[in-house]
Amino acid sequence: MSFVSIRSRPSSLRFKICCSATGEAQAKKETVDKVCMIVKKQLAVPDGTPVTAESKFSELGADSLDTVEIVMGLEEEFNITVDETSAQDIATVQDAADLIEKLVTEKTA
Amino acid sequence: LDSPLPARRRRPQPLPDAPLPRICTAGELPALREVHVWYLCPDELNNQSQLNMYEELLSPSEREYADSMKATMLRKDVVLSRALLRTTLSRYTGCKIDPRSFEFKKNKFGKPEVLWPLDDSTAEQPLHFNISHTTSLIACGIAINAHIGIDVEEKKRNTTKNILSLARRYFTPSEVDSLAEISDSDAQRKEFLKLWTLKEAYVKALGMGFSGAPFSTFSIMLETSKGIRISKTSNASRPGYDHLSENWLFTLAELNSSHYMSVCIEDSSRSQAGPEDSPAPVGLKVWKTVPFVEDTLVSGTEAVKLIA
Repeated sequence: MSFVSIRSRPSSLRFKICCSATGEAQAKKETVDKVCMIVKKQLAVPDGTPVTAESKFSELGADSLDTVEIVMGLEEEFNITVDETSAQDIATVQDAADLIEKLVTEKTA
Repeated sequence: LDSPLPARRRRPQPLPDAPLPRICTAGELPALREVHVWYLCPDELNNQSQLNMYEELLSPSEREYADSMKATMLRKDVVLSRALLRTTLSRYTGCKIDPRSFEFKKNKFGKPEVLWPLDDSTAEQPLHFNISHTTSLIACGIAINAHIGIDVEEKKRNTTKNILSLARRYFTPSEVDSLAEISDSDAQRKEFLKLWTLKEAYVKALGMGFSGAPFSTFSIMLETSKGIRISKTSNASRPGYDHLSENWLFTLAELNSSHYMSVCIEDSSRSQAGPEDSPAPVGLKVWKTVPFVEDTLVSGTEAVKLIA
């Protein structure tokens, strides 16, 4: 019986696994940071409370009027238009950032 | 929020510091075209024993949702909101259904509804509910055989965006015009909030989410002498908005001198008002409640001032 040494396994296999984990398109950190800033301002989030990509608007106390103001703030900042269906699906800062990048890309396409 | 759970749940019950009486006042069902509203003020409810009792009413998934809130105040609001809903519903079953037993489902757009047990005779006249909250007031509206939407907003609430910019972005041209006519900025802001709550109440009553009835597809006309009217705009003739209907009744009131409250219910009566008639009035009964402790009928007092 012969065993294939682990060391002799093609290194491209490891490489592939590594890449697929980061393969999904995610919004740039810069976009996320801008969204966080707009959200913090709209909701008057106290300095001690962190706002990150994972932050849910509902958990930060946003009601519907806050949400439309946030969306309007994002539209102004990024020069995009967000329709109601897309706006409804935004639950987290990350969702907002991803949508923004998608709309910006579509605009410049 | 809820996935179907067996009705019986064994939960360890901590003894409160001082045992509180559990009062369930059975409520008379709302009449046709009548809305009952029960509200509480979170800032006034700080008795920890009471709050523990309210928390005890929540389902596991409601508790999880409460726990997911980052701020303590928001967590308290979730607990109070669910406790208010459950205790209110219980009243309208003649106190036969324990507040803890209610289960909920969501329609395909996410609007919560009561999941009535199939053998329950109270399901003959289905209760409809809707909740709205601000940090200082949580309200639960109840109607019979009519879909209902309710929205409350603090009168003093300021927007970060300019009122007319918000209106131009989200409201209809006729609504923008009526707001633009108001020269006093504070009066304009208040009018915006009234329109906002009315539009929100309609969308919540329809139960199809913000995208099901975008604010630009319908206009609300608020003429206090002739009541409140809704009409679809030309935007609504786009495909996908056939479900937008105009047979809805509205009422707008000032609550506690601090909030605007709008309620919208389906007008299921056969004789509907023509364009020249005033819409049928909506009966409104309002109670301020401290669940299990005290209920005060406030409609007909200074605490509830009908605007339209």
